[in-house]
Amino acid sequence: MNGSRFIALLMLAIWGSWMCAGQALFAATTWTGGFSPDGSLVLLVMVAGALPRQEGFGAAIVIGLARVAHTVDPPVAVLASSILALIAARSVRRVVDFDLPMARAGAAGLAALVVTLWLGLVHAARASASGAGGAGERLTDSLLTAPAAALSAAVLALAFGPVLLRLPGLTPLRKRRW
Amino acid sequence: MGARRIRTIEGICLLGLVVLALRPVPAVERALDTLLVTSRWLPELSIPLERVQAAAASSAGSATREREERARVALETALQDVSAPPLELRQRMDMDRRGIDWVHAEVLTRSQRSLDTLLVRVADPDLIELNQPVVSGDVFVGKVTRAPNPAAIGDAAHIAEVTLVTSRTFRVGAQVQERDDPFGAWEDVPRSMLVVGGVVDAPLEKGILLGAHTPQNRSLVRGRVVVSESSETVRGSSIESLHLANGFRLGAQVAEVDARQQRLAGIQPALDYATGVYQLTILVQRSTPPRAPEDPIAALPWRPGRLLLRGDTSATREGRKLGRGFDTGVEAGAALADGVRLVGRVSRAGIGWSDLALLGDAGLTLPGLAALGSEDDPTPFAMGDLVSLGRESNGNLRMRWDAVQPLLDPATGEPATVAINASVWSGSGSTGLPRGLLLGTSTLPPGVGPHELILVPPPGVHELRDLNVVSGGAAE
Repeated sequence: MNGSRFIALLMLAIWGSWMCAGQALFAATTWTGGFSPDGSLVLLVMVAGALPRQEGFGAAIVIGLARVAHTVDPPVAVLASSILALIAARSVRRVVDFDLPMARAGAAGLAALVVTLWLGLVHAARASASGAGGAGERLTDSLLTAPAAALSAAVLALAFGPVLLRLPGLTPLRKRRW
Repeated sequence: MGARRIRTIEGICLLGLVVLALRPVPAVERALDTLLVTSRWLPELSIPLERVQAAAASSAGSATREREERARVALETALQDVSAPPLELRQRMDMDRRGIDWVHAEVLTRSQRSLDTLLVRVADPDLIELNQPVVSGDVFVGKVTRAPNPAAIGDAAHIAEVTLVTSRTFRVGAQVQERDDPFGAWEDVPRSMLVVGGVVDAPLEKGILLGAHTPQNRSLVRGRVVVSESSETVRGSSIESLHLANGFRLGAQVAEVDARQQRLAGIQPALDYATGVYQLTILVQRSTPPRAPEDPIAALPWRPGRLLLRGDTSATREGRKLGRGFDTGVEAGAALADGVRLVGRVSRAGIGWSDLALLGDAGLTLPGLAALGSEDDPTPFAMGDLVSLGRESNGNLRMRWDAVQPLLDPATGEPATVAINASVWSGSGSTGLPRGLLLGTSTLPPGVGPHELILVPPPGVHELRDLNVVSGGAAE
């Protein structure tokens, strides 16, 4: 990894953190709840679409670390969710042209859907294993929230996807022009 | 590195993370915490956003907080009264003349080794010795099986172990009286000596029954059972002073009918040992007057807590990051309070920071204590565990209450037949969480649960201006 790519990943961590903090604040202070767009996830999908296919893993871990710092979900589950989002973006990229805005929106929506369901599953499994109760409610919550999360992520990607990729410091991660 | 090799590495990482997420291994999670310690500083980047929200918060009314503190003190006083031996029993057993006093003990948790063993925090550890009897109100509960360690430092010097009468090896002398009159004269009624301890298999409808061993009069199959020990008994290598609890109730005899005759099945306990044991008193032979019970909140070590974030990225969680970790004594289960209001509990403690589950985080479990009746003169009711089911859009909390013991009417002491308004506070029995932190108000339904409660949090609960976290209060 060269120096500029390292600095770009560092900037990705910083922008990812700001996205997470903004999303958390937005969700906590407005009525939107599940409709709060997951900016860091959309940023990851955009970066995964711009990088060569074998280079997205580092970006997924960096965004995962930023998300770990902003959520009470278990770190292992959050890091896994970032890799799942990367796989979702790659899967869409494999079948449709990622230059199309709708393709990017679809990838972001799919990633948000997978991540929300995955974290709900982890939450429920851990509750069930510890005997704390409420496992069913947690799973139901994530099932109900996932479509809203997917929709809001897709809209964010559609409206601001290219802008996110042009954030200061991320230029070395950009391979394509939208 | 080839694309195939990268995919393989990614696949192995993902598989490992998925397995660890679904089947957590504490040692691995702690190691990962250490590895990820640098990410502790990422939330600090969002401090400007914090400032924006802090400026928007208004100050909560001081009068409201003073009223909440008064209500807490009233509940605490009522709780002390309920757990102390009743005046009638003290007079009847001549406890004052015999120099019997009591030391308050609060249940912290059940031992991980045995469900019949409780860890308690005693107010005056100097007076606690091995094998002293433990009671709750007028009910015998068990005995001290591990006295506080005088060499321990801080809160650990107050921790004792109590073994319940339900323990397989527990034995206490008792007598059965045919008359079931809690405080009536008991000299002139038929009685039978027996030994009580452990539990016996019983039909489901009878619940748990205490074991009755070697009854003196096998024909006496009904009646009230009270402790009756001779003066200091030597059992094995230790001296027991269970006679201090003479006259305290164990329960009521239950008969079962077989083909030819009735026979003694066991003793229906006077207390729900599974969910109803929270406030205890240890009977001691007075040498010096015991200290007054400590304020449970003041007794714990609190430190200022700072939230790193005002929200959580996960839409299904109500969590926060707390800027203190286990390096400053914060442990999983520790309470975070804003004045006397409970904000949440630490779900995971890392280095320099912790994860906090707020009251609206589905699955958060904590013992509840209801204050029934007026705010100035409440009747406490131990609710057992409450499980959060999340928060409604209007901010009210949804809680599951199993209500193993039905709600009691504060006026009659009998099971309630109508719903009763109550303020709900944290109860005892969970490490790191002191009793008497306010959750909100609710209408409690009558009857055995499970029930779903709607809990209305106190006004201005989101302002979070005076946060403190329990730190360094480990019990076991």
